[in-house]
Amino acid sequence: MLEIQDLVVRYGDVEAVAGLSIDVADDETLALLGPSGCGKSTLLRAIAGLEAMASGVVRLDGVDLARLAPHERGVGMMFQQPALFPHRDVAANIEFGLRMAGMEVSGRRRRVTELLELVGLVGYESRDVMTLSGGEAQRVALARSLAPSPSVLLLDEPFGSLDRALRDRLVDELPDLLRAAGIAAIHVTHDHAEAFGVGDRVAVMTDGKLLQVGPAEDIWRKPESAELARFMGHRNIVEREGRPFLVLPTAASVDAVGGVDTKVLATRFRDGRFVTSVKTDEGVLEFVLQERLAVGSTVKLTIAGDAVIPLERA
Amino acid sequence: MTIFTSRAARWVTVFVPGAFVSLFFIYPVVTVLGRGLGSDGLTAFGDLASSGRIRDTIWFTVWQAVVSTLITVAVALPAAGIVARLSGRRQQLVRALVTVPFVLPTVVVAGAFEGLFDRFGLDSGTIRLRHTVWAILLAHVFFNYAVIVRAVGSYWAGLDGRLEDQARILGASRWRTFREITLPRLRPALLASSAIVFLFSFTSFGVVLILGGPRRATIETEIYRFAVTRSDLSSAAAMAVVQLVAVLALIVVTTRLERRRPVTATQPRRESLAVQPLWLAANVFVAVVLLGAPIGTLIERSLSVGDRYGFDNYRALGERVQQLPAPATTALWNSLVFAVAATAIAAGVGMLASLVVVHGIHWLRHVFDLGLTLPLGTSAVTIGFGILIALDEPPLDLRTSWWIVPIAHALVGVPFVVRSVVPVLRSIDPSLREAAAVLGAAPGRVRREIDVPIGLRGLVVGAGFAFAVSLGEFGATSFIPRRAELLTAPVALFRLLGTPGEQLRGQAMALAVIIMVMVATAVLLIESTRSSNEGSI
Repeated sequence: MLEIQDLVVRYGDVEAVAGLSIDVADDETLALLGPSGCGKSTLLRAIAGLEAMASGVVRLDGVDLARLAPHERGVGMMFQQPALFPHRDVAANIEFGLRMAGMEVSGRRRRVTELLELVGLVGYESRDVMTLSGGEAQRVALARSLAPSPSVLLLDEPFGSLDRALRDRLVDELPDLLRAAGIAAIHVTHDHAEAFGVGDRVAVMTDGKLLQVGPAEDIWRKPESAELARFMGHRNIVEREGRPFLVLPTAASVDAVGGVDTKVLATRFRDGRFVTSVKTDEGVLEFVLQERLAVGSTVKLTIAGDAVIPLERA
Repeated sequence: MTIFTSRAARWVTVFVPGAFVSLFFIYPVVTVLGRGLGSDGLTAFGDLASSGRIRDTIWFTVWQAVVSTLITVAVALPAAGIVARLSGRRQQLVRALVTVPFVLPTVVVAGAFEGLFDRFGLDSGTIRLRHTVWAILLAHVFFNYAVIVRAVGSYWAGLDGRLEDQARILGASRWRTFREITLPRLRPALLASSAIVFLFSFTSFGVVLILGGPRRATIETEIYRFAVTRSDLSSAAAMAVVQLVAVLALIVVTTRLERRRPVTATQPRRESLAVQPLWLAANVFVAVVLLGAPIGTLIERSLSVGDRYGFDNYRALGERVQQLPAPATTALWNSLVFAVAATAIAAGVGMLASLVVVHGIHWLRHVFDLGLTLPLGTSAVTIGFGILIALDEPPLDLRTSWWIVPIAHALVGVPFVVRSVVPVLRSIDPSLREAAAVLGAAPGRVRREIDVPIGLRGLVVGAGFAFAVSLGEFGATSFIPRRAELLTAPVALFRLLGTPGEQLRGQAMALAVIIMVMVATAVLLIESTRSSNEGSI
């Protein structure tokens, strides 16, 4: 279990992490979502001991990490770039941490084989790391950080440098890998889909603080503030009685009888449905509909009452 | 216990290079300064000043350096433009070829030009080049051609050629386009490399001593003549102080210019305007005549025996001649052994020093960075002279020791090692070290596991240069006592060149060819490892 209490990290006068608290359970993956510069990488680096903490407590399995150097903490970390050691082959990269821990050769060899199997690169032991593709390199980096069985794995935008298709595949695979290894993880990303895909819980961070923590569906369906809603990609934020409300894009259905008159402005096809912009009394709203509506026509739309979420002002 | 060993390791890392440079560079230079600024030195300085000798020497030194630089730029700049337009492989080949003259020992080059003058009757008669300032200038252009072609050429290749295309479309002539669009953008690279050419010409020793003849004197040759020929150490020290001050000022200017130089763009140049065949032919002709003729004649002369060709001159190298304390073959063997020892010292000291430059605490980094680059700028003559007068009494009397040669050579080689290793260490992605630390490597272990093995790639290049430099080193070695076991090949060559007579001249040419082949082989090997490394990282 990783416990973080009131953690502060400063760069000069700037508080990159401004009094942040969160716990991560032993078999849990926390997706940490935030725009670039929000301090999420700094948080990871502080947990790993690569940045000095100004105040606060970080405990791993009950042990206070504050006074331990990075190499004594027993955390695993994966960087945005694979950061493989260019002068060593795949096996030597993966067994590095085991060698540091003083494991004997036969044990190391067994563990390397095991991990290559886990990340789907069987037989890659003696490959030169410079000849690996981006995805292969990132898998080797994952195997390398998992090898010493760290209590917690910190992933700093590990798929940031990969192309879309590869990233989607790894997002599918990573939760299973982490579960198989039974490791707690904090996975930092600025991509919603990636965060929702890998995280048991999602934490949203801006300006060094956590805005909201919860399961993916809660973060998306019930954001607490307008700021958070906008960050999650919501566009339908309306004012009612001087208060902001979120109208979920899934809220509308076409209804010949009831509903309000709206004018169809544009429609485009995405992921099997039609993303449709309509003009209402409250401005332009965007809904996901099952059918294509003719642009320029006027249709009656019903908006489900429970899909209109009150937001805190921000 | 682990703390103790890592602290001891850190101490060794700082102490070994620190002590080496302090003892064999800083202490001798300070001794020279003390001698030159002491009462004897000042008296000598006064005498030299009142006779106008200092003024004349400084004037000639500056004058020949300025003219050498201007001619080099004028001749090499067009070639740089052509090299910039060549495709990758060809560019690499041309760069390697023009670099060969640059790395040749000064004594060999001087010998080659002497041979050239011999062969074409330029040593007397209507066009006389031997022992004229023209000989010096020619040799300096020969040496420094590569500096401009390489530095400006690669910078030029990184410039976006579409700007020139645009200018041509807008109606500018070729020359106008060059003057108004290309030249201003080349300025940083051109200034920085010209400053380097100036520095090299300013501190040139072997070329001036041999090709300039007895009457032409630069500050370098004056130090040598005072110290070695006339044993007037006070005057030599006074001259050395002048040289130290001048070189220090030049280094400050050069590093400023280098710092201002922006990072070269990496985008491949897209050149649509082809090189005119006539222009290309003219440049190839200049390069071949300028670089090829001296080398070609040198080889021809070494094989020429009376009116036929043969290997007699090479065979004669095994025999003892009166001018040398040992046969030339012994000198060659000595040089090889010295070069191996000097390379080992330079590699060890340079590697440790590089670690300090990259990872040391703040002030120590700067001290090491500066302290280890200074020997590169300081003239070899000053270093040799300093060692001669500073390390001459117990407990450190090196004059009689065999080690004096490899140590002096290593001193000249260390900056090459540092300059090759430090950029490699700096280019290591910090996340590699962080990854190693997170995986359980303590700081000392991170150095051993990451920095040292990766830095070794730079070390191979640096050590190769140190080896080549040692093989051809003449400036510092010329101050070392004349004893058979200390005789190096360049010094032997210098002696042979200085002696009149057809037969010794032929032997000198043969010896020069052998040194040239050894150095060129070493350098071409380095170039090939370097390019293959660049391909894989």
